[in-house]
Amino acid sequence: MHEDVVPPSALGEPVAVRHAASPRSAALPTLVRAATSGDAAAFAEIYARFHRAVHAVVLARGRREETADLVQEVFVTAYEKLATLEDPAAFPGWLLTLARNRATDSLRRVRPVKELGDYRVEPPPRAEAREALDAIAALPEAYRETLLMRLVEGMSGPEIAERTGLAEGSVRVNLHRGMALLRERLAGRTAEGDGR
Amino acid sequence: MSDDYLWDKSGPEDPEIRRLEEALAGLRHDAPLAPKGRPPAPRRRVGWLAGALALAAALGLGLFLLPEQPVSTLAFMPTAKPLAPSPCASDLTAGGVRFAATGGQALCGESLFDSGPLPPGAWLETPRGAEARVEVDGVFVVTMREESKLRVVTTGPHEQRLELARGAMHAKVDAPPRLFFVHTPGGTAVDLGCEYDLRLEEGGPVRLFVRSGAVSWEGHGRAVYVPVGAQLDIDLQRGPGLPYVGASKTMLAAVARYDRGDASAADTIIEAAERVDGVTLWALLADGPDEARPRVVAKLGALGLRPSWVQPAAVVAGDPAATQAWQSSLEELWQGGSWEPRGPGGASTEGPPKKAPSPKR
Repeated sequence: MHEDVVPPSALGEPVAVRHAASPRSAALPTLVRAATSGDAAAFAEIYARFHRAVHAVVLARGRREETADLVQEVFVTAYEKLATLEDPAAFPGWLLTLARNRATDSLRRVRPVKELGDYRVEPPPRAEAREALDAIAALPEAYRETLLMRLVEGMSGPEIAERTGLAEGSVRVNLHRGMALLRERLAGRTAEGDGR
Repeated sequence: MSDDYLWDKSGPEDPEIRRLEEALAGLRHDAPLAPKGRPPAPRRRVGWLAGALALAAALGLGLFLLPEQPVSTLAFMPTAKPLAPSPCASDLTAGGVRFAATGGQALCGESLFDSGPLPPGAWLETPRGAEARVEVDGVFVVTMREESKLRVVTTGPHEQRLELARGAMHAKVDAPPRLFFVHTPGGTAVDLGCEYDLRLEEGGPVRLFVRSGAVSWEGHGRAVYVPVGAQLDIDLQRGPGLPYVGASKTMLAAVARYDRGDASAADTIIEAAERVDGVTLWALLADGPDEARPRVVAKLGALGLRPSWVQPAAVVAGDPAATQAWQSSLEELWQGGSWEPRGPGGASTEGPPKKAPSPKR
């Protein structure tokens, strides 16, 4: 198994990645450096690793019908600003901060009126999914993103830690407490529904 | 039940989690770099993006399938354009504001930094897990909490103004009163010699907690005196509520009702107030309905918070001098001083001029 796809001496040069050694096995800092140098495959691999975490972040904050566009916007911004990232190891936190800001900004901006046929309407989530999303949206912020990464994106705890830059212990606590709160809230809604 | 399944999907399956996974799986993000079938988004840049990323995806996929083929720079990825230099990359001018990040780098302009100068106008943002210390030697130290956004509005020997746009901060100020200001969407925290915490809830109220000294919260045409130990919630539309200390549940509920615009809650506040709630009563005197003023003054007296030289009738009638003198004594009491250190005229004989109670809503 190949570890690094870019020899250290080639870092910073325009495109030195050869895919006999797949970027899928590359360490993140190596990928970030390669993408900064203009390597498309490295950027595609970064997208593959992080698009679900970014989606969870924007789903936790933005308008649900805009999340797909927001994910794309975040990656374009990331690409445009990648050269400013001094420490490639800080990429996860940096990328998710971009995502949070983009999602927050999307709530402030006035949505343009789209002409008929200009866009495809996302199908609304099923009632059960909508109820679960609403309950998650009402949780404290610290638990919201983590639970969405786990329950919507299907990421495991260690994967969430790696993609967010958080310590595994913190992710485990967020998952545990968030899930406990979510169970309470959902149980409360069920009880309310039964009582009607 | 073990949370192994929640953690890494090992261990016995948790039926409720499984049910949630199944319900939410349809929302999972599976789109490639450019989602197929999605027409260009309304913003021109996103339209460009869709095409560009589609190309990248196609080429990237091809590259994965042809591993020996060297990758060249793709058309959509122009050579990284030079970015405008970050304002935080400049040399620090003497006496300016500096910052230092911990737990991660802070974003200034479009670049990440461990530390540097923070010139007026430049936004500093802390990502999750990171904090930043922003300071002017000998004047103030502000700790930006994670996921916060702050900038310097002005800095100078006579005035330091910051703006907190998002998140939370702790401020410790060692400067004369009314030299250090923090602007927020809900108003301005004016330092009266203090240490305090400020938090902007997402889409919700601003919360101020004073750890030492006092803050004057000014905005929406009012000024609210918030002494050590007190908290103030500021609604972005209605403005500041009544400051409160760790009061009883009844008191807290009544303050919350009052802050939401229910003037009848003033009756409960007056009835339930204990000596520790003097700060709330005092704010109610300025902010509450006129008909409540005699009862507020009487209650303050009953709680031992009215110096003997205060003429209740004068305060009820709104006499500025009498009111100001009483407030000065209360401020001394709340700052750990003693009662009755001076008579009715004392307030004007020492120290900086004290402000009158907040104007009415």
